[in-house]
Amino acid sequence: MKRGKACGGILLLGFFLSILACKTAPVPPEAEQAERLEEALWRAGASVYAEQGYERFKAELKIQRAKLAQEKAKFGWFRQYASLQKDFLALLQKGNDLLAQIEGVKGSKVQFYSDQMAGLSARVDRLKQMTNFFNENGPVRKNLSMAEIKLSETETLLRKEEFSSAGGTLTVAETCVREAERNVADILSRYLDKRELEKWRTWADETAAESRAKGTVAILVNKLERKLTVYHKGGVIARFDIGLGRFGLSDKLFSGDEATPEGKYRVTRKYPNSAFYKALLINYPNEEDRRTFALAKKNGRIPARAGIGGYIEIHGGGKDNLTAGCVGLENKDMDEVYKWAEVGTAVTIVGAVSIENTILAEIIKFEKNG
Amino acid sequence: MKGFTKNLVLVLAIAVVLAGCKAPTQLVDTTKAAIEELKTAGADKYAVDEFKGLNDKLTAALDEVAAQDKKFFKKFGTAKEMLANLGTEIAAVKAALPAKIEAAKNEAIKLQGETKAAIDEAKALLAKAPVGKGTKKDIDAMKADLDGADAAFAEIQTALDAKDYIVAKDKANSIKAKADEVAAQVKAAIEKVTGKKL
Repeated sequence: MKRGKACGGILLLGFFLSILACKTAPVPPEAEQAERLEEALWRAGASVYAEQGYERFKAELKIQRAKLAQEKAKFGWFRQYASLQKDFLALLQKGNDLLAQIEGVKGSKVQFYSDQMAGLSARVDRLKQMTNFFNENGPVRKNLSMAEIKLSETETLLRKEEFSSAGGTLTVAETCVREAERNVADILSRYLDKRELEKWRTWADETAAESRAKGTVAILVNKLERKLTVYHKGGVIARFDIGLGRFGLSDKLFSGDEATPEGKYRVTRKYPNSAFYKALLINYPNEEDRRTFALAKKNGRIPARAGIGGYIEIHGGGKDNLTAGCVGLENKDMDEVYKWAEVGTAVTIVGAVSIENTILAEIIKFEKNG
Repeated sequence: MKGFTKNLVLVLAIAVVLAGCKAPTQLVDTTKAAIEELKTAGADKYAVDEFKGLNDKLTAALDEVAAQDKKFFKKFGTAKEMLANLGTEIAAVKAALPAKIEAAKNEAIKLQGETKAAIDEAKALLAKAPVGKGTKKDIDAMKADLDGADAAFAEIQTALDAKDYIVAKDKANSIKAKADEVAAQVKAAIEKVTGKKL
């Protein structure tokens, strides 16, 4: 009986002594901080942005947890946290570094995609300006519209920090922009051809020379610059802004292609009361146009049943209106041109004569970038 | 013998007390795993607020575990209760998740309809837009812009078919914004020509 009481007493004494001993060695606060840091890493998406580092951190934390539990299991007198505290501090440092790394990764991703978006937006804006100039809106504008939709989606995804998806939509946006640029290049590649430019320059020079030699009026239409120049005795007496058709920058090949022909023509008839105010009919198609048309048909470049077309005029009605291949002028300008022109007046239509104009500079810039 | 029994009871009592002091590690792990499972099921997308609430409560429970862990007389009862309640809430969110996904699906389908309506409205406006002096070129550009929105429209259905309702909504919003933009431009062009406000 006495022996049992003694045993009980010893156990109780040991119990209370352990209580006293525990107060002397508190658990290092770094242990709890490490647990909180693990939570913070989890929330920050460590498993996505720093998978390996996060796994290493969790593995080390597990080891430290086990060591802590081992230490806690000892009687208070024997608990030594100094070494463990050092290990937890090192772990905290690693965790904080990892967190900073994740934030850095996220920040750089946002910056990267934002920069790409800004670059693409600038390309979209530039191409849109170009389409406003050369009218040919169809495929280019459609691709640009799709690119804008994708850029809008990308913006939404970036706000949600869904970088992988944002990268995907941005790639599609870039494809659309590239396609639009290709469409533009297809339309304008002729204007970069030195032989074409030389041919047009020769036509323009011959027109001015004829005007000078014969002392007559001659008209030069520059499609790229959107200008109609009136010569008299070889000197420029007037210049007007013009409008063309939807595919005005292309050379006319057949009826309904909405392109404006290029070549050396003559006024064949004057209409004082045209559907488009006043009009000067020119002799399209000329012999050269007929040869080109026949060759294009033979080569299958145009529909088999297509006709060559005709009734190409310089007329009023406004330069902002899209023509079906004619050259449009403001009515007040048409009054002037109509007054100077006679049946037989030379009308030369060229793509461009100089490389030093805005749109060609834009194309060259595009070609260099593209 | 009586003394031995007394001692045994005493030892067991201490053992029970010490056992009660043990942190609910397994319960914490189970709860975290359940939350991860919810995330995989789409709770972070379709039950955003609830999912955040669960995470916050998990943090609170972990805080409680950590607070008790520092004490000598550890009482994990509250933490266990918090974790048990959290378990119930996780089950509730899990049960409600299919309905939420269905709601997101319906919302995406509704937005798809609104986008279609916006495209159709812009098309109707373009059809009646006066193609006259100074507008033909602009109208042509707007038609091409709308063609782009029209072409992108099919992507909404693709996302719906893939059960990616958030993506479908995002796509619908972007396409609808483009269609609305075109419609506004057409209205402005019509007003410019007719002088009447639409």
